[in-house]
Amino acid sequence: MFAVIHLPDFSLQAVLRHEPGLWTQSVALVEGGTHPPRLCARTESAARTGVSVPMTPTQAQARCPDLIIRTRSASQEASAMDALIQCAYGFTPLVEQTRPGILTLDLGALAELKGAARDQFHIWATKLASALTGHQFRPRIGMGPTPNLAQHAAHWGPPIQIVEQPELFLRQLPVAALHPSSDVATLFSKWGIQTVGELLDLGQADVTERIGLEAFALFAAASPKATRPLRWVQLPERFEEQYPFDPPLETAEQLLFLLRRWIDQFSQRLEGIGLVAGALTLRWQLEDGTNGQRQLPLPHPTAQADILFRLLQTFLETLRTDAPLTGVSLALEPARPVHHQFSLFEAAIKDPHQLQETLGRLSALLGPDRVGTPMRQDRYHPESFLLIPPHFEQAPVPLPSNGSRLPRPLPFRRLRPASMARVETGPAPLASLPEPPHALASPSVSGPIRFSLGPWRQSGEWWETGGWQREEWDVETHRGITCRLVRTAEGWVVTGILD
Amino acid sequence: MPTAADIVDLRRLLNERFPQAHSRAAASAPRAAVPTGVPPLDALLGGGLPRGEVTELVGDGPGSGTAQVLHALIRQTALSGQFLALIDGADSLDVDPIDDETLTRLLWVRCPSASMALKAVDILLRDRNFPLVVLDLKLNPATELRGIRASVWPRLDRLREHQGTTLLVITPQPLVSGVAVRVRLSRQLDLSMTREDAGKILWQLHFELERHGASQASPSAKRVA
Repeated sequence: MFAVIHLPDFSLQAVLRHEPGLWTQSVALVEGGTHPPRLCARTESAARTGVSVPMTPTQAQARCPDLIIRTRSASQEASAMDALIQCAYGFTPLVEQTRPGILTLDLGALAELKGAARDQFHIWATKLASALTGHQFRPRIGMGPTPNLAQHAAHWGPPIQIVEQPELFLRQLPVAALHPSSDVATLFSKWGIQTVGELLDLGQADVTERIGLEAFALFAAASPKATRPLRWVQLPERFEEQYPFDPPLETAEQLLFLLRRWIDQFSQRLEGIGLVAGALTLRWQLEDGTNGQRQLPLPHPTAQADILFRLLQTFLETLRTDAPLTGVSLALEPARPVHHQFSLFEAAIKDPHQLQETLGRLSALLGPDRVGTPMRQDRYHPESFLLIPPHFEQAPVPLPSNGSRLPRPLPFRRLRPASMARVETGPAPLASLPEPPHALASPSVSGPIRFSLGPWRQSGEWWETGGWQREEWDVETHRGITCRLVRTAEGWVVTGILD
Repeated sequence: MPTAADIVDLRRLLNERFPQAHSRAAASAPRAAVPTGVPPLDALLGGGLPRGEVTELVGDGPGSGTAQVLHALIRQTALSGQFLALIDGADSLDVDPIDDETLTRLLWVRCPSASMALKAVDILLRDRNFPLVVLDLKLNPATELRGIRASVWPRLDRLREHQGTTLLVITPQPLVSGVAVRVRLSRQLDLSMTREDAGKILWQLHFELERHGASQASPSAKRVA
């Protein structure tokens, strides 16, 4: 048994799935690359007012002044196709991308449908249609013993159709279902041939004698037993949606509404294929031509829509732009679910999702580069670290306390940024030694220096253009404040205070 | 078969007849503590920071040793398999001496000012994932600290109480009103110690207990070296 999912007017569905309220209004889709631009699809409401394909937008608006025009978008069609395939994968992994907006599913391997009655097939198809409707698609589903029959069933008849009597079903189809060439279609019309059954009654030999080799293709398409091997498509692990705002958006409410719908759909798609979200990336375009983007990593990957949405909402609460938004896109980076077995005495994060929200709030308050777990960089320069999102559940198991040593050298309190200093050097005890600091003046520490230790010289990356050299001194002022002085190519700085 | 009322009466009678035994048992009951990894401080506080309470560590001037205590606490928390959130009021944590494994168990919140640090601690205390939160205001300028309203501390205390979090506040002067435990560190580090082993330095720190819980009849000053 095979099933075909058909999305009529796929290019229009790809655009209007972000604005489902427009299906009841007069909307037409314009093909952007043609001169003059031409309509390529329209809603039923627009069709009732006389708008047809391929009118120009001007002609269409002359017939329907309230016509809403949208532009066809290849990226939105690609996103819609990804969503369609991911949704179908939740039902069976044997999926063929037959054409844009058309999928053929092989149901032969589904245990739940082996030897099933018609009602069970119908229930299955209803579930599939419901899942697709949840993604704002308007599907038609056909099921039949061959891919060809299933496709005919999806194109013609009710939105869900199961072919039980192939010969009878085919005979009732209009002859246009066989996709004859225009000349042959005109000829059939003159002969009074309306249905496939009437064509089959003429006999293949007689029709071939009159219209030539095309008759072979038409009779093959009308065969109830003709089948073909399907080309399975790989599961696309791309989760991305985009939407242009026309007119530009000035408030966050509409944006949050749109993002919530996307998040809900992403969540359903992820759950259907057993993945979770590892990170979200929000991109936006402004009316003044500038763009922005923000990646929101999830320390604990999840597919829960509420958590994903809270992450976005927390960020958007702090986002202020200089101009209205003309477009937005949201990409989700899928990840495998992480399962971790804790040891008996190992502490676990009680509520990882709460932690995610807390991190989001802290990042919104202070900036993403100011919250996280420090990770040392692989270089010798002091203070070389990055802040990364904490992964406490993957943190090394607790260190054994036996034989452990506290870090050395002694930690200082760092001054960030380092405090620029004026330093007077005194006479060196030996001519071969460098002159030690004698007095210090800086915004943080000042005064004569009574003791000093150093220098400790460091250098690195001399093999590259950004090579560095520094000379460290630990000094004690006459007031007893111990600080670390560093001499670099730019001069003296105070980098830390002993505390 | 004795009833519950009989048992209550019996306990009351025992308390009346042997009040000393009862008070001794209560006094010897172990109080939950969070070890700091600083032996003199743990000895002073009876095992460590009182769990679920606010402790203020006052470091008088530079060189008092609060950074040494903070690093030891970070290390000790990792050793016990826990996580620590550090709200760094002046972005002054020295990352270099901390080993990689310990860093993985640290959430570091780098704040540009005391007011931002207080907002951050408010957010973190609402999260119930961190049993220990450290608010480090040691390097924040006095003008910033004077600007902190007194009502902030009771509010943070209520948040902490609700979530059962242990909160350590490091300050340059007594700042936290109504704090359960306040420990003072005076200036004791100098240049000669900069190249010494940090573990030895911890043993040399002198702590003075200024306030210790509500059960204390009068403010006490107790020194441990």
